Amino acid sequence: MSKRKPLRKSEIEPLLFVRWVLLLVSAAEAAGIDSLSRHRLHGLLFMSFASARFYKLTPLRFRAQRTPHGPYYSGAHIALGRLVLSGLVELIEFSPYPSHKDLQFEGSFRPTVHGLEVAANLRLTRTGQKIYRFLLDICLASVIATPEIVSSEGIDNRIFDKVLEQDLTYQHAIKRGESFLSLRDGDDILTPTEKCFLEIEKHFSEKYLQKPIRYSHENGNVQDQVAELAGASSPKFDEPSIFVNRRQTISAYQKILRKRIA
Amino acid sequence: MTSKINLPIIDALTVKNYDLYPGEKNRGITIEFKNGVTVLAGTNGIGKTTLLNLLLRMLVGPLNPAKQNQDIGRVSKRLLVSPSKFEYFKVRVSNPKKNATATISFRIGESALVVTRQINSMKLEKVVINRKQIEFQTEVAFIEHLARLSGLSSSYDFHIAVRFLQFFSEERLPILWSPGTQFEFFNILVFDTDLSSNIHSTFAEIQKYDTDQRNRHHQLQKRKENMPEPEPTELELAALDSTIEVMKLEFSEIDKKYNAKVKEHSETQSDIELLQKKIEEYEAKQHELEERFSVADAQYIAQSLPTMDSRLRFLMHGFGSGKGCFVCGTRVRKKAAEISKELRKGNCFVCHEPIKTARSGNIVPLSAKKIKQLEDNILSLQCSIEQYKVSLDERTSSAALSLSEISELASARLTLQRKIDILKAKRPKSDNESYSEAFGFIKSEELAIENLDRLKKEAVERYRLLVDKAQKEMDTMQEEIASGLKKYAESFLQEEICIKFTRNTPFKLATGAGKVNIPTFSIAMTSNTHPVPHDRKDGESVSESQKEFLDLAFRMALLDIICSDKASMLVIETPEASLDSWFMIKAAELMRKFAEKGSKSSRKLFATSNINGTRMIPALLGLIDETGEIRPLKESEKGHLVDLMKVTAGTAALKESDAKKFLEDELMRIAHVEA
Repeated sequence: MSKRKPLRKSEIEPLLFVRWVLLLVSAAEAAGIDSLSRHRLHGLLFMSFASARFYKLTPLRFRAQRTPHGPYYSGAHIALGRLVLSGLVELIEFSPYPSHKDLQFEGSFRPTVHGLEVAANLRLTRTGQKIYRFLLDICLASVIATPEIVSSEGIDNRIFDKVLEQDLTYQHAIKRGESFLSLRDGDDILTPTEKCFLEIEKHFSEKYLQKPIRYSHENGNVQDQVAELAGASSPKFDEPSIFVNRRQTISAYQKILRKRIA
Repeated sequence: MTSKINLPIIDALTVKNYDLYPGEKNRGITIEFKNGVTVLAGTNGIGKTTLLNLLLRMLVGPLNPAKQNQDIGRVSKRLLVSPSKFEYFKVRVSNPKKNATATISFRIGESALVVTRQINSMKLEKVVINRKQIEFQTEVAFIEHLARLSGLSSSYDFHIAVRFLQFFSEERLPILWSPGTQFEFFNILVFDTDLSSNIHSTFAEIQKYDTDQRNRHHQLQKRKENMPEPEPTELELAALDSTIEVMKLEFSEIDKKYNAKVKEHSETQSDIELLQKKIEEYEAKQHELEERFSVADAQYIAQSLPTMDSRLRFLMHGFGSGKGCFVCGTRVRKKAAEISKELRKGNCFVCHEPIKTARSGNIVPLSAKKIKQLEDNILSLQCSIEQYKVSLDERTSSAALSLSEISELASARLTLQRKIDILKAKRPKSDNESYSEAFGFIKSEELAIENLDRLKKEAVERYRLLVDKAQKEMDTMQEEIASGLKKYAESFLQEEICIKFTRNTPFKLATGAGKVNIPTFSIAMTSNTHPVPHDRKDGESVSESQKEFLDLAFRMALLDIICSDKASMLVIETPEASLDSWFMIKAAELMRKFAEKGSKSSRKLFATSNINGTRMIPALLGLIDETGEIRPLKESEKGHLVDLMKVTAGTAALKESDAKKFLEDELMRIAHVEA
């Protein structure tokens, strides 16, 4: 039996990004998002990284560049190229992007059958499944908040792109005026997006639920993510629990963003 | 009065091998003492005093009273002690010979004794009594024997009687002028044995009680000065003890709690340390697992994704299927061959760099199960870490709380301990004498001292009664003493003398004892200022010479009573001292009266005298006739004059022929043998 060739650290991060992108493309497809353009894809990537800790996921360490056309991940470009060349992702209406600095190409991305198979394989691990469910929730929340994005009748669904641009973390990063968009001011500091999620949850529990929110998923373990993220005291585990989908929180968040663009 | 006392009477003295008394041709000296007066004439420093002391020590030995300087009238311990060294005679010669001896012949009553002693130490060499040699183990035993022969109660009495009564030497112990001494001599010589013994023992008893009482009183005063503080009353003490006990219980409770808390805190600290270690260990494991997972996860992704071969096949498939370039869609067949060629070289057909491809086929793919296992392990570790952290927080809070409680308990404990110590300090200290103990001791001592005082007073009363008896005995000889004293005193003083026998003289028996009037003889005497006999209670009321000779007269009277029709001896040193010419004659008459020839019994008086041109020597020898002329000594009287210039080593003055001739002529003039 041959020995597996050890992966270098420089190879690990790109592979993780490939998985993230493939799962995002798969999730978008599953959520019914009609068209996943380059701009939308990068926007969703940014929002997913800005929200990841809400789902106790560690976002990848890639930073998006600040461009006139939204956030741009060069890593995502490489990953997409690999996925496309591997036949896992289909590129429709391809056109090269006329940018001197960026390696870009326009088009819509959809997973191929092989891509969906590979995505399913990747979801066999707990991490893969966790990432997929998170990305699926974002996509589903987007669909809930902006139903136009599932329209197949050619209605301008740029609204969703504008919603993505309204992301609080993105706005905060834009205001900093740097060329790279930082997600957070420090490693242990929540992003503005995550803070908003917590506020929404708090609002839910105070106004509607009168009890602390508990989540029933996450490998069967009952965890108080609000307390962990916000540093608040843990709820009492002996109290009867009200189960709320985090997707609803994200959805509510996106609705708020949508209202801002209205 | 008939006395049972016989005092020693010296007959002869022989000295051999003693450089102070070499004698003629160094054969030693022998002096015979005949009845009457014997004059030992010599110059200053010739050895007159030494000769008298030799006579004394030959009789009494080297022993001395235990308390030498004490007034003999106040001696309670009537003991003789032997000095470690007696070198009085040894040091008077420059080269003492080991065989220097002296032999004295003397009589005590009917017993004839010949005693030889080593001069250098006065150690007994030989004792012959009535021609029988007798061995004595100790000097005291010998003197005790002499005392028995003398009829005296003890060796001490013998020593006192001989040394201070018979010998009127340099010491000049006053008897007449010291009531206590006077009474003591009567006690020794006159009183009934039982009475004497009782008087002595009672006196000793009084002294002892008095000494004890004074010592204990002194000690008691010191104890009173150092007495501790008075203790609280019993009730106060009980209340104090009760409070202390209650506080001790409280302290015990707090102490238990404190110790329990300390233990608890210590255990909590141990738990905290353990938890911290665990967390560190698990976090390290978690990090390691995460590292492994990261690699495994990436490998899983990599193996899930198509390989470079499959990508290339995909790309070539696009060309091969006629779909054209995947980038631009151009369908150029010849390009396919070029691309294929590059690929066969192992180069990328885009950038022409060598393509690194993974070996496939033989590598076992990572299963999702294995990745899940790693993920589960990491999650499990995370859960454990979280649990440990929760426990750690709990333990840390608990430790902080227990520390706070410990601090409070420690403070309460310390406060209580201090209160207990303060209360305990108010109790009498157990290691030092308590007030009650001291008080008890003082009380008992006061009682003991009172008892001693009572005993002393009782003894004084008994003594008084004994003195009453003694007075009666002295009464019997009052006339005799008075007449004898008067006879001797008037022959010397030519004053009218009255002898009084009274019991008016207070005698202090002890420092702290009362006084008892003892019977004493005193004199009243006329003088140029007192035509009527005037009481002379002490020696200060007469002149020095009168004092001495009145005392001598009293001795003579006492000896007359004791010895009466028995032999008697008196030894006097330089009687002419401080006397004028007339009184020398009178003194000599006094002494000749004592040793009058023709007495029924032997009466001897030895006197040393200086060759000083005075008429003392001829007066003593009775050579002055009625006209005042000095007659020569008869042959038979030759023995009564001992010319010490002939028998002693002589003085430096005598080495000068002029001085010697002068003195010899002087002696010849005043006392020469009839041709």
